[in-house]
Amino acid sequence: MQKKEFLIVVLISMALSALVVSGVVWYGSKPPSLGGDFTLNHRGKDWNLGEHAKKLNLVYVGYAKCPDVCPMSLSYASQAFRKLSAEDLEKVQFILISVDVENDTADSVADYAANFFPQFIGLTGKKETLDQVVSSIGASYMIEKDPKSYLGYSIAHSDRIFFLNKKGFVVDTLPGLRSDQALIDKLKELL
Amino acid sequence: MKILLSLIMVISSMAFAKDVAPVIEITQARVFAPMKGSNTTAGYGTIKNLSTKEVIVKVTGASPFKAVEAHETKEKAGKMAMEKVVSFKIPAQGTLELKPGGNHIMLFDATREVKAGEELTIAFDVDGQVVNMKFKVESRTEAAPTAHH
Repeated sequence: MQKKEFLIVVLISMALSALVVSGVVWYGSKPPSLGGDFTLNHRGKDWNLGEHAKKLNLVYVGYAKCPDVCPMSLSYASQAFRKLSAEDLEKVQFILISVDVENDTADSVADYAANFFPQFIGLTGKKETLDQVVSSIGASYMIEKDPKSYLGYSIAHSDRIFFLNKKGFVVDTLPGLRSDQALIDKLKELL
Repeated sequence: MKILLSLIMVISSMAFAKDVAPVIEITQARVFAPMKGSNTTAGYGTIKNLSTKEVIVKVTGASPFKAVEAHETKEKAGKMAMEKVVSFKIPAQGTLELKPGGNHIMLFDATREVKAGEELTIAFDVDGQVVNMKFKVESRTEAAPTAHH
């Protein structure tokens, strides 16, 4: 009798273990759920990620009139890109999405991004499309009126680089870029 | 009589100004050259209060920019938010660090091209005293954003 009970316990334990292992395997192989393909505006023309995607597509959400956090992150990103090999540069691109629909034009965003590194891409779009893209990758922003300031507003936004795969799904993120090395290390890990 | 009194006040203020020791000093003072596509840029540095009492520092002008303001960046609900502040307080003998991602000077709409390598003068009001300080213009893409720290 004791042997039979022992056997049942062993079988149940084995079944539970198999269930846990298969659950972990299933979760690990599950495709990323955030993100997806999108089309925004680059210098007045539609720019579709699917058509231009590289192995890794780094997305930063901000605005061209941001004087502090955006240029700091883009500066570090440009320094990191300047240190990449030609081979790695073929596999990666950096995209700035401006959420300042009222003040950034398609050209100003594209010019602004290209200041930092000639291949950086600056995109904008209609508010509804931008909001959909921004929320789909897990980023966020909020426009705040500031009548006492010369600019009259500021935009609070995510300070995070989102790494999208060829299909536009988020495979990783890097918050608050404060050194070029942090990005280089992350790229080495993902490329 | 009024003219005489005014003259005495001007002369005495000039004499006073000559003897006044600097209240603050700034090191690593730099402004990033404005970039194509944006009408704003920022200034950074470390301001030291040399006096034995707390001082209130306001930024009042920066030629050739149309406007200049004191700003602070802070994290708010998971986002980086920036807002104008009236002034910065620096404790006696203390320092105020103006750095990317924190307190900074924001400059708007340069009326001419401002290039890396130039020197700009930014005017401050320190407890009512005008203090002009020199800032070096640097390129965003050539210098590491925090290379001075």
